Amino acid sequence: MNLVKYLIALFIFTFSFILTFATFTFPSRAEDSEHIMRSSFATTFQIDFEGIKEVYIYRPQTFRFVTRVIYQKPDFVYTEYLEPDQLKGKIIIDDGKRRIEYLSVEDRTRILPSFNHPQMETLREMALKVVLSNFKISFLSREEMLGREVYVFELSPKNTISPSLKLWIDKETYLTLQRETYGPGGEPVFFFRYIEVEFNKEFSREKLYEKIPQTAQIKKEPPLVSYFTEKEITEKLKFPVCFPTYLPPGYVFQAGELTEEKRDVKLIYTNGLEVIVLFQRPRVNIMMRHHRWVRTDKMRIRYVTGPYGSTLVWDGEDKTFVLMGDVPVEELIKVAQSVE
Amino acid sequence: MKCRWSKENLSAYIDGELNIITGWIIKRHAKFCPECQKELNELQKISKLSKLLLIKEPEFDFYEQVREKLQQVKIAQQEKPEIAAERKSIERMWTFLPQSGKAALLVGVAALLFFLVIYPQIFPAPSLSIEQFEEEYLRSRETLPWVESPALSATLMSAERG
Amino acid sequence: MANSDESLIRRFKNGDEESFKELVKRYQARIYSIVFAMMGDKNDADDICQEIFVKLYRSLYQFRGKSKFFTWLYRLTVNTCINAQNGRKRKLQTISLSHPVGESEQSLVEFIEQDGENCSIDILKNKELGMKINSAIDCLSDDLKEVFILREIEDLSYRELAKILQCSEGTIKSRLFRARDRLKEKLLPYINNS
Ligand SMILES: [Zn+2]
Repeated sequence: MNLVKYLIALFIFTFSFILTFATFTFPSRAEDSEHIMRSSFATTFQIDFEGIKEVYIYRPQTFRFVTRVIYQKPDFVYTEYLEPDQLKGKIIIDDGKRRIEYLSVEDRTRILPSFNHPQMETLREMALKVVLSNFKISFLSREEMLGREVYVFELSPKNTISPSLKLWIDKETYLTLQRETYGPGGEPVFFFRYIEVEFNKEFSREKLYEKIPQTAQIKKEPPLVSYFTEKEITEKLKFPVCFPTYLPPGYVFQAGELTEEKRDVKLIYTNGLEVIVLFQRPRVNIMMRHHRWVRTDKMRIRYVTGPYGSTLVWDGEDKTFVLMGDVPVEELIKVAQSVE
Repeated sequence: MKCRWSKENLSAYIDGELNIITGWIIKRHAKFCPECQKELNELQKISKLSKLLLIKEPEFDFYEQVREKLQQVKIAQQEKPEIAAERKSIERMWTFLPQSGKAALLVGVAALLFFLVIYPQIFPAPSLSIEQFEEEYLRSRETLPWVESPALSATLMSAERG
Repeated sequence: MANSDESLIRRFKNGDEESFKELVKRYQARIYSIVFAMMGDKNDADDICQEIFVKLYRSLYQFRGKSKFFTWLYRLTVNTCINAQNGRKRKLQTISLSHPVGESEQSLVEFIEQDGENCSIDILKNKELGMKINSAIDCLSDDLKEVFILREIEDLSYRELAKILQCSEGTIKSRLFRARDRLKEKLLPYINNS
């Protein structure tokens, strides 16, 4: 009799143990991983936060940057470079309307359209979809980092040319606290982690703006950027637009941009992490140094490969094309050949 | 013994630089000596591959670049008296020009400047540098949520360093 | 009907600038290849090549025609390269987006070029071999390198090489033998499985 009771107790105990364990590891379910991914994309616009971030870029040689980052709801981002010396004092303020980049060493300012304005949200949403379809997301573990609980995820590409990622995502706010990026060959490409974090901090924006000298705060408005679909571009343009029929695995059309004269087109394709950009405009001579040539039956292409991918330049019948992207150059050549 | 001699001459043999008799001896020897035959094949392969690799083409506008450089050299070298003489003749022309001619010339120059400012696109488009495309590319790249802005900085930094 | 070098030079001396253009077009690829191989760097090759043709332009008036024109031009080329090498410290590598990261990949596409019609992107995969050959050539001492490069690019006879490099034909023969011997030593493991 006692034995039966004992067995029942054991059963209940194991069952409840499994249940709790299962809830602890809940991100193993696909839609939960997806939810976390989605939240992490938008999180920088939902927190008041200050942190010190350490960034490494491994190509072609190792660069190390240290930045102070401040996020303020709903669309304010402040970045200040602390290291290296050449960039010390460089400040970027993006308030959702415009983006001011102040380079202290040269006392020079650049005004750009904001990276956080509402139209960007659509682009971000799209990038997320592309990421979700291009990568297999697996939950690796729960860890502790900077005294906070984090989920560790791995994103492995479903094709052979994309990088793979490891993410450390804060459980409470979904902010990515660390990320490692590896190239298709497994070589480290990029790495960042926060070394200090402080959540729910109050700031005065004015104080932050004061860090940029008044002389540098030109009232100039940034150039207007609008994004169009493929169809809109074809209709708006003064000359027929060429689209590539081949794209590297995982890449889809993101958006097109036009200059004000509607003569230059910029087509942007993305795999969620990187972009391939195709510029086309009436024939022009493009100065390019140190390039090499590829000759195919149809065309002669000039190209160079640098730390952020390759650049191809070639002339069509009455147009000049520039193609840039961070994929193997063979892939870009295929894209170029498919442009019609 | 013969092999060593043969090997020393293989290089000249593939260049076709041996006299008929020596060439014939090497050819015969290699036919029956697998070791020399192998070495001959290797040398030919290296020579063929090196040829492929070494031959390059300069930029398509190489001649124009040379012309430009020549022009610079010429200007730098031009004897001063010549320039002075030219200037004098222009001055003389100016003084001999009737008042109406002077006025027409000035109006012409002013009109040219005016159009240059208002309609820059009328005039032959200057060549564009690839850098502005690169900047645009990096801007598109950095608008993606997972791309960090140091990308552009690293490029700028290295350009400075270069 | 192609003009001979000599007739182009004659016309140039009589003030015909077009004939200089023809000379440049005729020799630019060959000179460029030689300079590139000697210097092992694209930036240097561009500058030095221009320098050579500027020198040519200015000294062509003095060309007497005692030797063949190309012998004379190649000697000018080799000397300019050697002077440049002596006078130049290796520059810091620049890495802007439009600058190639390593020279190693360089040869690959030229590889494609040479292949003309069969040019397929697959050849790009032959990267490693190309890099190995390039670095092996780069490692040769200057006197071996110059004779090897001139021979392979131009298919010059030993007699012509001797004139250009101002040494005996015997020296040319032994230098070429030594150069190829060194290359073979370095490349043997790679060429047999290609
Ligand atoms: Zn033998």
